[in-house]
Amino acid sequence: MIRKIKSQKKYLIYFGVSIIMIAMVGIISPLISTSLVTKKEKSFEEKISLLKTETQNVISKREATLVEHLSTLRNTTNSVSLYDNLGKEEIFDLVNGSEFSNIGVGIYDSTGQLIIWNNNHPLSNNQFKNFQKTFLNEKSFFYDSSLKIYLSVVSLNDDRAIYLSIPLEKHYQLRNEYFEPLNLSGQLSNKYNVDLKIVYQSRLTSNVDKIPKFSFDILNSKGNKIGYAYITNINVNEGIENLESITFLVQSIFAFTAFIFLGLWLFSLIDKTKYSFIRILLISIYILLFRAVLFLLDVPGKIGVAELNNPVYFSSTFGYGIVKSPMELFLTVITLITILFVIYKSVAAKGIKQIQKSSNNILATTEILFLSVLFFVILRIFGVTINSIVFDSTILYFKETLLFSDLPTTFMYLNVLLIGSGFVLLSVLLVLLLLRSVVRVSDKSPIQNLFFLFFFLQLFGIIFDLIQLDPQTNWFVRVVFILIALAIGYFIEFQKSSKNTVLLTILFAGSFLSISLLSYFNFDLEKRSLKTIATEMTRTSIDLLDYYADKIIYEVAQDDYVKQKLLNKSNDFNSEAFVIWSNSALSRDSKSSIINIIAPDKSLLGSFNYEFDEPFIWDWNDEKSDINEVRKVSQKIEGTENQIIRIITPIKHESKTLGFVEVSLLHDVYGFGIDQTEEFLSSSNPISKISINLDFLKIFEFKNQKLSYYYTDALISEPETEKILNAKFTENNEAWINLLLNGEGHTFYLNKDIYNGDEEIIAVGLRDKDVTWSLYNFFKVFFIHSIMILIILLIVAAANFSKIDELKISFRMKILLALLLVSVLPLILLANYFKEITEEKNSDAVYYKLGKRADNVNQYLDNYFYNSTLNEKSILDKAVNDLRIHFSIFEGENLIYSSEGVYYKIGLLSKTLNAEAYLNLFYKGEKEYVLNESIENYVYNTFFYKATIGDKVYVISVSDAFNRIQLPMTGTELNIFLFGTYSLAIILIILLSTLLANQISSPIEKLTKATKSVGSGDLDIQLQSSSKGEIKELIDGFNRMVRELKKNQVELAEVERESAWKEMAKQVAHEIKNPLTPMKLAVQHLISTYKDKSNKFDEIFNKVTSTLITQIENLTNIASEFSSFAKMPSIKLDDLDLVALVKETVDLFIDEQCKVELKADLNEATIRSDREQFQRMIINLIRNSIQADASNVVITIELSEGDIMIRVKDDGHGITDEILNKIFDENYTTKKEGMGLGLSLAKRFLDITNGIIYISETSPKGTEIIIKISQD
Amino acid sequence: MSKKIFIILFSFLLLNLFVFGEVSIEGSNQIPKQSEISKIFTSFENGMNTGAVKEFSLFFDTETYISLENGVSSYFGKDQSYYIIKEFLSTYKPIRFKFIRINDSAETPFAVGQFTYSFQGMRRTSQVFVSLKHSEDSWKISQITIN
Repeated sequence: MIRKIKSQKKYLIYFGVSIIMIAMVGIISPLISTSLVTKKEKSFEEKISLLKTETQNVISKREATLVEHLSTLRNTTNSVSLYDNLGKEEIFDLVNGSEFSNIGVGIYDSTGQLIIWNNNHPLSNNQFKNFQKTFLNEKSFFYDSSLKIYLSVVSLNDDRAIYLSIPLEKHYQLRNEYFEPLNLSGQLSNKYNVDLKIVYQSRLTSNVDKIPKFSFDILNSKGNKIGYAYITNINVNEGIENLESITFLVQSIFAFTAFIFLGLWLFSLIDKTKYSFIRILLISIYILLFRAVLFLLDVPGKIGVAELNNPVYFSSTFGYGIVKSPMELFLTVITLITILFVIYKSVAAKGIKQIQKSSNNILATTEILFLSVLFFVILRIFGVTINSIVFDSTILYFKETLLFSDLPTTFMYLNVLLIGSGFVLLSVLLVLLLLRSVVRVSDKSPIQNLFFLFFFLQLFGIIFDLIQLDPQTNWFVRVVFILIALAIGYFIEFQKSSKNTVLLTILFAGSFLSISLLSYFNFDLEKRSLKTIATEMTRTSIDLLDYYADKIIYEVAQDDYVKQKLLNKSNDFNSEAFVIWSNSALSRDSKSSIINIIAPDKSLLGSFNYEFDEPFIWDWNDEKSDINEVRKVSQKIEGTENQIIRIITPIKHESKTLGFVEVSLLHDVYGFGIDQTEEFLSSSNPISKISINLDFLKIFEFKNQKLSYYYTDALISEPETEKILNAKFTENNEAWINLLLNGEGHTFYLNKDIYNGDEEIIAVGLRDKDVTWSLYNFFKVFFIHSIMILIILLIVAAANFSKIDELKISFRMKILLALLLVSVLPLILLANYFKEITEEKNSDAVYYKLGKRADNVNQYLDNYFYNSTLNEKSILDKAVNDLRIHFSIFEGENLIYSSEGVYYKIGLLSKTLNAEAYLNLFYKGEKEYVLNESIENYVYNTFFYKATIGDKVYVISVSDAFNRIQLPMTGTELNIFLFGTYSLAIILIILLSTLLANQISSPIEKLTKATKSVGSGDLDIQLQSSSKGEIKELIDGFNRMVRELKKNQVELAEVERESAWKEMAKQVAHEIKNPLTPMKLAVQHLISTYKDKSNKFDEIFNKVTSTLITQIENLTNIASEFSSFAKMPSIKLDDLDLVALVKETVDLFIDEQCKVELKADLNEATIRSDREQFQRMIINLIRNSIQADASNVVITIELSEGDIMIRVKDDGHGITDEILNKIFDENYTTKKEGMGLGLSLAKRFLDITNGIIYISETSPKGTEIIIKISQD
Repeated sequence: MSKKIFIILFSFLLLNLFVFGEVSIEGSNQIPKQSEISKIFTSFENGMNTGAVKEFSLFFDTETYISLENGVSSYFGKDQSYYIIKEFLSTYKPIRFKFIRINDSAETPFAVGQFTYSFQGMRRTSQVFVSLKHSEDSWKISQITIN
C-alpha cells in the first residue's frame, strides 16, 4: 500500500518538474534571443554565402548534365550524315527517347535549318538563325524564350549545330490543376527565407539598373559570367523567430508531459473510486481537458499535414474553434467518441435483467419522456452537424468522380463516418437507458417492450418534427435512425452480440445514416448554388474592374520585366503580354481583358486577348500631349449595357519612353463567370467550385418586366413568366419558386434589383431531376467508408492481439474469405475489363472522329486552295468557319496556319511539328498518326494527317483540346456506371457471403466449443439450433451423445462404486481376518489355560491380552487407512497460469446466452494446484450461475495482500437464506439431477490446495463467490 | 440511478456545446442605423490592422466572396469566412492597413486599401478591395480581395 502511494506521488513530482521546466525554458529563451540579435549581421553574411554556393551548384549540376548529353549525342551523331534518312531516323529515335526526356534537343545543318529535334526544344528555325551568332560555343548560357528561361549549351561545327537545353524557370503561371510550377529563384527564396532575384543574362541582355549591393555572380564551367542574383528582401528576424518557435515547441512538449503525468496520477486515484459514475466523470473531464490542451497548444497545426489544417476545406465556429479545420474536427470527434464509449461500456456492463420494476411509475415515465426528447435532440444535432459539414466546407462531396480525389476530401469522408458512428453510438446508449426505464414500468416481455419503444419513438419523432421550425433531417433518416438504434440495442441487450459485431454494425449504420444526411443537405447545397450563380453574376461591378485596371498598371510600372523586354527589344511581345496577364489578378479572376504592348510610335508590338476580341486601335489621340502618365477611360459599348475600361501607362527608362502597356477590361453584364476558354488556360473560378453541372443551368433576366436575356434553350411560357414577375420577394429581394419548363419541374432562385428606377430580376434555375443525387454518389462514399471501416477493424484487431500466437484465422473467416474471393474477384476483373474495353473504344472513337475531321479539312482545302480567288489565309479561316473544325497546318516541320493561332503566338504551343509525328509521317511512311500531346499537365489527343494539296505536302493536325468530341460513354459516366452498379453488387455479395459463412460456420464453431466443454468435464451442455438437415442431425447427435455420456458416467460411477465397495469389503475382510486369527488362537489358548488351571495362567493372560491389544491396534490402523483412501481422488499438483486457465475456461461459454467475462488485473498469476480439478471447479461455478438464470457472469482475478482473489459474480436470482448454510455440505443440491457434490468438492479441493471458498454476497440481484488462494 | 443522472447531465453538457458553444462572431445584432457603411469600413480597417477578425466578421454576408494572396478564391459562408481570414492573418501578419479610397455612395459601396504585412519574416504589400451589399436590412461585406 505504501509502495502504491509512493508511486502515485512520483507522478505528481514529475508533473511539478515539467511545470518548472516550462518556466525555465521561458527564462532562458530571452537570454539566447539577446545573443542572437548581436549575431544578426553575421548570419546575414553567412546566408548570402550559402545562397551563392547553392545557386552555383544547381546551375553547375544542370550544366554537367547538358555537357554529358551533348558529348553522348556528338559521339553518336558525328559519323551520321544529316542527309541520310536512315541515320536521321536513328537520331530522331534517340533524342525522343527516355534519355532526353527532360532535355530539349535541336540539331541544325550548316544553313541553320532544323533537321532533328525533340518536343522539349524551345527554338524554331527562325529563332535559331537570329540568335546563332550570340550563342557561346561549347559554353553554357541562359536562353530566354519569353515564357521560360533555359540553361543551354550549343556545339557549333562546320556541318551542324547541336543545341541542348534544360528549363529553369517559367515567367508565366496558370491558376489551374494542370500548371506545373518551375521557379528556381522561388525555390531558393523559400529555402533561405529571402526574396532572391536571378538575372539570367543572355548575350542580348542589357541591365535596367545597376547591380545591387547584396548580389553574387553566376558563372558557367568556363568561368564566364552568365548571370547574377541579388537579394531584395530578407527575414532579419529569422533566428529569433526560429528560437521562439523552438521555445514554444519545447514548452508545449513539457506542458504535454505535465498533463500526461497529471493524468497518470488522476487515474491512480480513479482506480480507488468506488462509484462508477464518478470514475466516468473524471475520465471524461480528463479526456476533454486533454483535447483542450491539444487545441490550446495548436498541436494539429504544428505537427499535422498543412492541408488538413486549412479552414478552406472545413471550418465551423462550433465549440470556440475546436472544429476550425478538418484535423481539429477529427480530434474533437475522436474525443467525444472516446467519452461516449466509456459511458457505453459502463451502461452495457449492467444487464437489463438486473433492473427491477419500480414502485415509482411517475419517475420512470418522466425518465422515458426525457430520454425520448433527448433522443430526438441528438438526432437534430446529428443533422445540424452534417449540415455544417456540407455548408461550412468547400469540398463537393458528390461532384468529384474520382474515388480518392485528394487528402482533405478523403479525410472529411473519414470525419463524416466517425460523426455518423458517434451519433449512432449515442443513440444506442439512449436506447439502452430507455429500455431500462421501460422495464421499470412494464410487466411485458423484452420483445414487447422493444416494440412498444419502437412505435412510441416513431410517433414521438413525427411530433418532434412537427413542432420544430426547421427540422434538420427528413422522415427517412428519422425512421431508420430509430430502427437502427433499437436493433443494435436489442442485439446488445438480448442477443449478447460480440463487441466486434456491435462495432461493425455501429460503423456501417453510422456510414449509412451520415451519407443519407450528406445527400439530403447536398440537395440544399445545389439549390443554394443557384443563389451563388446569381450572386456571381452581379459580383463583378465596374468598380471591381476599375480596381483591377489600376492594380495591373501599378504592378506593370513597378516591375522591371516589361522595361527589360522593351529595352532589349524582345522579338516576342505576344508572349510578354501573356506573361503580364497570367501574373495579374485578371487571370486569377478570369476577367475578359486585353493586354497590349505598344511601341513608342504607337504601333502594336504584341498582345494577349482573354475572352475579349477587339482589334488594336490607338485610341488615345484625343490627348493633346504625349502620354507621360497613367490614363484611364471608361467606354460604353453601343447597343448593350457592357462597358470597357481602358488604362494605359508609359514605360520609361532614363526619361525615355520605351513603349506603353495598355489594358482593356470588358464589363460584361451578362457574363456569369463560366469560363469558355480551353481548360488548360482557364483559372479555377468560384463557379467551377459549385456542386451543380453548369450545362443544366437555366438563366433568365427580366428588365422592367421584360425578358432581356436568357441562357438556356428551354422556352418560358407566358404563365411561367408571370410567376417570376409576380413572385413574392423577401425583404432581401430574394424568392424561390417552382416552374414548369417544357413540361418538367424546375426550381428557380430569383433576385430582384432596383437601380435608378429600373427593375432587374435574375432567375437562375435547375431541372428537379438534374440534382446530382444518384446511386453512384451514395455508393461512392459508402465504398470509401467500407474501406475505412475495414482499416478501423484491422486496427482494433491489431490492438487486441497482444500475442502473436493468438493471431489465427477462424473457420468462419476462412469460409468468408473463400466466398468473397470466388465472387468479388471475378466481379472486379469484369469491371476492370469493362473499363479497359470502354476506354479502348473511347480512344478509337476519338481517333476516328479526329481523323474524319482531318479528312474533311483535307477535302475542303483540296477543293478551294487552287480554285479560289481568296488568299491562302482567308481560305483557311473560311475552312474553320464552314467546317467548324479547329485545326493547324504544317509545311514540313513549320507551322503555317492554326485556328488556335493565339496559343502559338504566345508560345504555349510549339510552332515546330511534333517530333514523333514528323518521324512517323516523313521517315516511317505513315499517312496518318495519332498521339497524346500535352500543355503543362493537360493531356489531349492529336491526329496528324499527311495531305498532298496541289503539289505540296502538308500535315493537318486536329486535336480534341480544341474540338469537342462526343463519346458514347465518357470517363465520368463510366466511373458512375461502374461504381453505381458494381459497388452495389459487391456490397450485396459481401452481405450474402457473411450471412452464408455465418450460417455454415456457426454450428461448427458451437460444436467445437461444446466439444471442448465436454472434454473439460462439463456434461450438462446441450446445444440449441434452428438449423435443418445434416447440421441439425449433427447437433442432435452431439446432444444425444453428451446425454448418453452423462448417463453412462453416472452408471459407470455406480458400477465403479459397487465394485469398489465389493473390493473394499474383500480387502477389509482380508485385512480384518489377519489379526482375527491370532486373536482367536490367543483367546482359545487363554481359555484352555484357564480350563487346565495352569499355574502359567497369569503369564499366558498377559501375553494373550498383549497380543489382542496389538491386533486391535492393527485393526484400527486398517480402518484409518481405508478411511483415508476413501477421502478424495488423488491430486496432481502443478504450477498453473491461473489467468490463462480461467480465460480458457471462460472461452468455453462464448456461445452461451449468458455473457461470461473475465477481468484480470494481473497478466499472469502462478499457483500450485491440480489443473483438471481447478478447471472443473470454475466450470461448476459458472454452470451454477447460468442455472440461476444469470445473464452476466463476471470473473475477476486480483491480488489482495499477497493472496489471489477470484471473484465469480453473477446477476442470477441468488441463494435464499434457507439454503445458504447448506450449499457447501456434501450431497446437498437444489437441482433435480445433481449429486450435490459441486460446491462441497470445491471446498474440499481448496482445503487441500491452500485455498478457501465463500459466498461474499447474495441477493435476488445476484451472487458473488470468492475463492482466495494463499501464495505462501 | 446516479449513473443515469450523470449521463443526463453529460448529455446536457454536449447539448450545450452543440447549441451554444459557438464563437460569438454574430456579436450584437444592433447594427447602427447611421453611417453604417463607413462604420463597416472602419471596423474592417481596425480589424486588419490588429489581426482581429472579430472586429468585422459580424458584417460578413451569408455568402462572401474571398480571394486572397495565398490562392484561396471562392464563396464562403459566414462561419468559414471568419476562420479563413483569421488563418490568413496568422500567416500574413498585419503591419499596417489603410483604405486609400472609399466609395460609400455607389450602389455597391466599396473601398480599396493597402495592406502591409510580414510574410515569413519579410515585409510585403498587397492591395485590398472590399465591397458591400445590402442584405437582411443592413449592409454586409460581400467581397474581399487581397492580392
